[in-house]
Amino acid sequence: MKLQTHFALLDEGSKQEIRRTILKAVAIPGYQVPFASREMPIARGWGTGGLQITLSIIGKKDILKVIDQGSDESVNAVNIKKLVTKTTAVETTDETKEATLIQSRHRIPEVPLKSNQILVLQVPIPEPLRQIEASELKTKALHAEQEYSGAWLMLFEQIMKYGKTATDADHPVLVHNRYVMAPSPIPKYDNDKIHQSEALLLFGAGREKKIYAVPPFTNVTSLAFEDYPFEVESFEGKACHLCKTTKAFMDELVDELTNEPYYACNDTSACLSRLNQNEARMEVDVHVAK
Amino acid sequence: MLMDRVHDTQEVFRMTLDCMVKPGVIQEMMYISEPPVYCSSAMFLQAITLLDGEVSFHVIGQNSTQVENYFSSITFSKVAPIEEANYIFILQGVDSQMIQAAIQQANIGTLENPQQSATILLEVEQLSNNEQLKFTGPGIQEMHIVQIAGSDQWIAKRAERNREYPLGIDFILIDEKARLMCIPRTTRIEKLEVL
Repeated sequence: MKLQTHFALLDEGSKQEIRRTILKAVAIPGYQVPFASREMPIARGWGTGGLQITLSIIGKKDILKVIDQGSDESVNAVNIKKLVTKTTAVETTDETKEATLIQSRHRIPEVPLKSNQILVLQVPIPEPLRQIEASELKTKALHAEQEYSGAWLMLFEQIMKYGKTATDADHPVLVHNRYVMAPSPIPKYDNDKIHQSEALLLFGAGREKKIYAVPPFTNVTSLAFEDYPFEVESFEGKACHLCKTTKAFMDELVDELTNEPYYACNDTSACLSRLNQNEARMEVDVHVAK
Repeated sequence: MLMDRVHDTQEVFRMTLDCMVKPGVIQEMMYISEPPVYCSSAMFLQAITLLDGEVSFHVIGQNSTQVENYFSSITFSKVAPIEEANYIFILQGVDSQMIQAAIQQANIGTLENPQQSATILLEVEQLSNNEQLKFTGPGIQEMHIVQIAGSDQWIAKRAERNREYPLGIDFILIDEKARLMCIPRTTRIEKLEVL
């Protein structure tokens, strides 16, 4: 017997449960709604939460983009894209602007998102208080009581130790003035993009069985102290070695011959479109010069 | 009835999600040919999109028993008393008193598990963007101006039950022309002064 894969892989019962969870998550911004995470054909920790959201909401008309650490072409992104397109036959794109559904690991695209887009983020550890409290029952009670001194204490201890808050990614945020939320391991550079975003953000943690959301135009503030304000990664004086921009989140690479560091845009699709623009501008210049 | 369960429920869900994400935005739901006898096509589509054996529901309105039997026979969802139901369907023609009583009895969840609250699916006469109510809150850039026919009294009851955020009830409204609007618990509603 040859089995035929169902549209979007998941059975309808699973999709329904995830859809109900998403609706509740949207109604309670930043609150982690438990769901029955399914066994997926990729390993837990490789984006099963995000994938389950994507498969539950995707329709025939969607245009999908998948990124992993800013790249459309890394293994995780390519495999997830293949799995989704093989089971749904939806179109895919690298262009952020064209996509209606974007699944991402660890980045929010540089191109501002629009209200017809949904960004699905893969989350390894959805609980911002996990580092200070191992028990799920207790963290649930802390959220219920809006008791977040642990999160503040964690930042305070970092300041005492290092002179600044030392969260490199996943810096906790306060959503709609109620819930402290882990924004998934996006760099601090991306935190401000969640605040009053035009697009819906959905977060899926497959291993931890949680789904949460930030609707558009919702107030989201990164936790910080008055005398130690929130600071994002700075790339002052650095430029991408390909597109020459100075205004992007960049990866530091090392030239193996000279041991000198150099920089490249982390969001490859934004970098590519800038390169194309530069190229077009040069062609116009040449044309005018003739 | 003629429908494609996989793709039609996906479309209904995405439309409902879009409305839940942008409270006050009105969208038009599709119709199915040969609609069910005792309820509207839109209510039926919502029922098969949301209900299954894992959740419970309750129906208020004329022919509620027939609708309950019908919904549970096609979705395997369990009928429950209002206080326990995950989804409460209030059909066309239910008077304001009954709607308020339903809102009063519906489950608003607990502080540990606010997601366990009920969602009320309410049929109203008409949804429009005439000036009656001002929506503000998450999902809304500045404000949305909407009019919900016959909402004068239950809007106040909703505010009363939703006052202790994150506890509260989420609403999915459907009008006679199968237009859809959602009001999550985070939406603040103000009545506009009539000039």
